[in-house]
Amino acid sequence: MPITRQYAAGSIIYFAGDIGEDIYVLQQGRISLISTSLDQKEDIKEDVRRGEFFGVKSALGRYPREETAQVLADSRVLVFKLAEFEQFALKNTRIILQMLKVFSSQLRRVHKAVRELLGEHGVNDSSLELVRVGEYYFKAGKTDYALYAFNAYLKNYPGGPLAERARRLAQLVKEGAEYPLDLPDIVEEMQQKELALRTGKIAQQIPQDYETDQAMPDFSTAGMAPTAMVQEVPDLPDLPPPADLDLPLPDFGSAPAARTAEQEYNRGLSALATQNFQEAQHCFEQALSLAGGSDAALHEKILFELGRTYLKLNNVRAAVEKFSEQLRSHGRGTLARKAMLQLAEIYERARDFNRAVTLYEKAAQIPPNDREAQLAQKKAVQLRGMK
Amino acid sequence: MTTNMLFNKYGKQFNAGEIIFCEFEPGNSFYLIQTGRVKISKVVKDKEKTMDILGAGDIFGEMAILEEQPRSATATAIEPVTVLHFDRENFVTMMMSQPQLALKLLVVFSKRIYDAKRRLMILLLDDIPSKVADVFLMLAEKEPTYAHMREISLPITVDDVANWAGITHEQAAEQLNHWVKVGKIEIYSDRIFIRNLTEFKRIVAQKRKTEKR
Repeated sequence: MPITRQYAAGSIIYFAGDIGEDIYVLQQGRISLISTSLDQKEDIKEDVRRGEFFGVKSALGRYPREETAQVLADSRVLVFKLAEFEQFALKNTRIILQMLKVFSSQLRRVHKAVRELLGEHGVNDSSLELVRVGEYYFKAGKTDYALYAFNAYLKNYPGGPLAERARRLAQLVKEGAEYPLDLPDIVEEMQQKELALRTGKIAQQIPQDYETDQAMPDFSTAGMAPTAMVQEVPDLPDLPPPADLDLPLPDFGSAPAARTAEQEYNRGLSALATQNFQEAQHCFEQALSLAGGSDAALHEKILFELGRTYLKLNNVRAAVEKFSEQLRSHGRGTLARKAMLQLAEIYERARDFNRAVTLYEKAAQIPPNDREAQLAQKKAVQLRGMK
Repeated sequence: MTTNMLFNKYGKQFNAGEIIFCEFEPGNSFYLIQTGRVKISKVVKDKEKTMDILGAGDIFGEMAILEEQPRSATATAIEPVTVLHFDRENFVTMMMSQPQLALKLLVVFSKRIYDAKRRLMILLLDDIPSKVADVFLMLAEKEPTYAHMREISLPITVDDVANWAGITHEQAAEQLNHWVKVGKIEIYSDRIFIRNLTEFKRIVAQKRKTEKR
């Protein structure tokens, strides 16, 4: 049975660095946990709430205390030995679940920080790494593993940029062939195919005629030819930095998140390519709800494609919202100019030339001064006369 | 639920040599080993590296219920393996009916948080000598005799050091070679021998102290 212990104000229950296996619950009084931030630059003070456990992680994980537990006012504390805590926890599974939730969100935050410091691949690169691991196994003669990796790619990213490569390699493995020497570099192939997925099949089909929308009168009159778009758009210095969206806390009780944001995004791209706009909308919306702040590039891409999907579905208002949201969150993103051009075109069709001109001009200023920028400039000049 | 019922519902079997999941594969289930041993490995610089060998009662793949991150390693069955596997959908049911498993997961998370934070501390140091020295300390701290330890032989390579410290192979090699030259360490193909751990403790402590102001 846990015992009750009284601590006088000013005393210390344990010091950071102590080894201890006791776990505490504050019953009454005031206790503060004092730790040093991981970069050692500041002290962090945190009050224990009444009824709250403390000292759990270090006791369970059997590592030194990370914080000093200081008693600020006379306090009464319940003290569990490790074995007692385990017994207690086994009978109170809800408490373990709560702790798991807290721990898991901490763990996720630390992992996120580690990944950011290492500059590790966002979700986007991991699909490439999956194929790369498969190729390693292929070369190493572990063909079962290779096949597993290629199939895992095809299962998760059926319309992905490396699907063709994975399919070919899987076929070669099945045939018992050697690893081919004529394969293009995987990174280049991925970039090219991704570009083709976005621009080749999709991007140039800017909608010609919208149905009448109350918010945007008279779309059908201005049948402008689609603007050819070039891919590379680097940062624009004077726009706000991308928002750092935090991941939602995991909710163990919720429905399974069967796919990742990237998977949904790729499914959306495939659906767009096959003109299945309802499906595309669904996929991109799913992707958006799954995408976390750790991958700003992916978040930007999803918003952009979702905006374009709404256009296809003649939901102009929703499209405007998505492009605007994209520009707000990723004003310096690689797709910022494209979103501006989409918006400009929408306003142009709506004969709101003031806004259209402003947007074309803004888009034209984004470096590099390539064909896309020049076209935007031309449109701005052309429309200025119509204001 | 009895173990048998559990197995009928959540059980899975793998043959010797069979792959359970692959590094970088998206996945949302985690596993509890019932019987057999499982190898956890990673492909690092065109070499497959064994990270861990797990046995009955161990869990793996648990990060999947936390993050939408792909698998960080490959899991393969060394011998015929039976596992229970869970995902977010059956997680709460599972935890409520198997409190021991929930407790085990809690312990695993506690350790993982510590390890990840410890790793983060290394990465937050801003110069290569302290980063590398702190990698030594982090690994040595895991030994029960750490407090009184003078010399230690760590089963790591230059690439491991680079990886832990978040620096390039060249940077790690340059620093390590320097310490070899001045006689502080010895490098072998599969391990690094540290002559006097106290010196490295001092390097890191000094650095952290100056950063603290």
